[in-house]
Amino acid sequence: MLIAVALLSLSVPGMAALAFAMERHQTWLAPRWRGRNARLALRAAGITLLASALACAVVAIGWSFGVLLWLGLLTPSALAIVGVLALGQKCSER
Amino acid sequence: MKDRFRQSMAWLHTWLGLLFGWLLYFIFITGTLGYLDTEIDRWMRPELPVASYPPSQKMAIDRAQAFLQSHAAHGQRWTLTLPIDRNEPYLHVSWQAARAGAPAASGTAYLDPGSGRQIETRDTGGGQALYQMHWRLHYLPPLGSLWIVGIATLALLLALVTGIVVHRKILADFFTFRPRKGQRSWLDAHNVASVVSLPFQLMITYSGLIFLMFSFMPLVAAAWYGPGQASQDVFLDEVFPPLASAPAAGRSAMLLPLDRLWRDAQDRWGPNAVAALEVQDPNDAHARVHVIGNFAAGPLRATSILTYDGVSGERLAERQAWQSGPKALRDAMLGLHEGMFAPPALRAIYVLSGLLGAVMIATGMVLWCVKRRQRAERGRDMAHAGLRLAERLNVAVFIGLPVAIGAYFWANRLLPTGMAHRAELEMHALFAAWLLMFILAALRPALCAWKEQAIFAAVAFGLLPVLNAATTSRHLLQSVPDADWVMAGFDLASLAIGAAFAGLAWKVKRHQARRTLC
Repeated sequence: MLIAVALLSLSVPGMAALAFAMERHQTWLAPRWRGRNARLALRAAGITLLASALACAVVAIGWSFGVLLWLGLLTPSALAIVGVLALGQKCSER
Repeated sequence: MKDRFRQSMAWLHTWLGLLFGWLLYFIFITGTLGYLDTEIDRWMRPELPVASYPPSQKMAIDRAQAFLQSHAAHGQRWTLTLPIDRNEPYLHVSWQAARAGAPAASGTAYLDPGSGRQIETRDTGGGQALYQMHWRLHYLPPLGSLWIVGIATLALLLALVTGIVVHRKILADFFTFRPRKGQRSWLDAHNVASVVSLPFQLMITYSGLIFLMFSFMPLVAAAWYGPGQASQDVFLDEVFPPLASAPAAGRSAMLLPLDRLWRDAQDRWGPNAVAALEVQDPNDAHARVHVIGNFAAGPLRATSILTYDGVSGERLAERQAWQSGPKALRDAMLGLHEGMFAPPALRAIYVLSGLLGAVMIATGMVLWCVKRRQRAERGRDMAHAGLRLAERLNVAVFIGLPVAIGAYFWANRLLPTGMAHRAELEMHALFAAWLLMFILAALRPALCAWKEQAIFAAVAFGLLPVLNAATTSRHLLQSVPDADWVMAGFDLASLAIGAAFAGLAWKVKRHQARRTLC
């Protein structure tokens, strides 16, 4: 359970970085985080965070359980970012 | 060329989905509940105490053997399931009548591992009956439902693959959900639910087919072993080596104390490795005892089994968990599908992914209807009978099924405990409630039916904790202070489900306000 929380603290920011690295979601960021270089940096950060979550999972609970838990946790992590972005859009439309 | 391919895949995706979606939704909901089967079992048998796992099973085995000896000395088979983990929280015994004996002489019982006293529980199908509907469509014959579920699974695998082909922008749309945009929002929801859980959906569908491989592809074995049942048996004997079975001798002989065999197995496998014992022809000179390890110890759904002579105690055979690479691949697929090994966090992910599968199916079906309804309202097309049928079936299945499951839980608490055929009546209550939802959906305008059935579901689940408090002493005010988290968790989850359906009813009502239908 504790390891799941620890992994989420890496994979949720990782997913967020990947989302903000996309053209469509760039408008959420301050101007200096937009543009090609910032997007590449965000994507690299996202991949690094997700990879380190995988590394932590494997080191902490072994290959079979680690890969499973990591893969499984990507689902709620991505879902959380989808939810936040949708909520943000709803608020900005008001 | 590329677009024509995509279009034909879109056609296949749409019609496979429409044809099998309702059945697949049923399979996903009951299967997801299967990840919580023993928790539901416990709620439906409130007589059982909080599960406790004794450090040594010796006492439990002695008590169980004494109980079986006095209740079923001449049974054909005994099974002792030991209280080791979440999958088997209680000491449970079952016995099968002698070959000539009356079927009533078979039975099952929960035992207190300390005193050996039987814990009387109500007759209920519990979570297992709900879970078994996942592949055993309740009123249909077993072989028929196996084929129907198998074909639906095949359709789902095709729908997943064609869905990936059809979805142009998997990566670009990965995080995109645009709310309150009608058809667009339904498509976004369908995409997001499918894409974020795609590894699970592919795994669960493919591994679901692996369960059926011996029935669906008998020709693969037949090509090597020859046709016919006899060659099929030879094949199965090689995949699952036989366990030194012997026909009953017909002479009675003293059965050894089972804890001696258990201890011998523990010495070979390590502590807490034995999950169950099975005795073939107890008290016969040819008695056989199978000591079975824990299938849920890891993602590989396989375990070693030791077979002993029940009279002399001699070790006769051992079937290893690992037989061959291909079999291990099968075992891993089955293990991943059932998730019995999953600790709480992983189990929660299994439940979430299963629910996302149900959401994937439901949003896809609603999308189909919304698209055609809009076209009909622009006057280009009549609201044809197929559309009206699909709209009604959507309500009756997507909301009606949860209402029916709620009715199953209500029946568990309201039917008198001493009643004959009680477990079957609970099941009938589920299907009667569901039938009622189909009738209501047929009679009412579709949007009204969405709202009304969502209110039914909200009431059915929202009031379950109250019903539990009124009919048992294991209500929230008792279970929370007692740290009885299975009982409390069920009640709290019911409240959450009730609230979710209330929210849905409210949303439908707001959506409706512009039209004032009901």
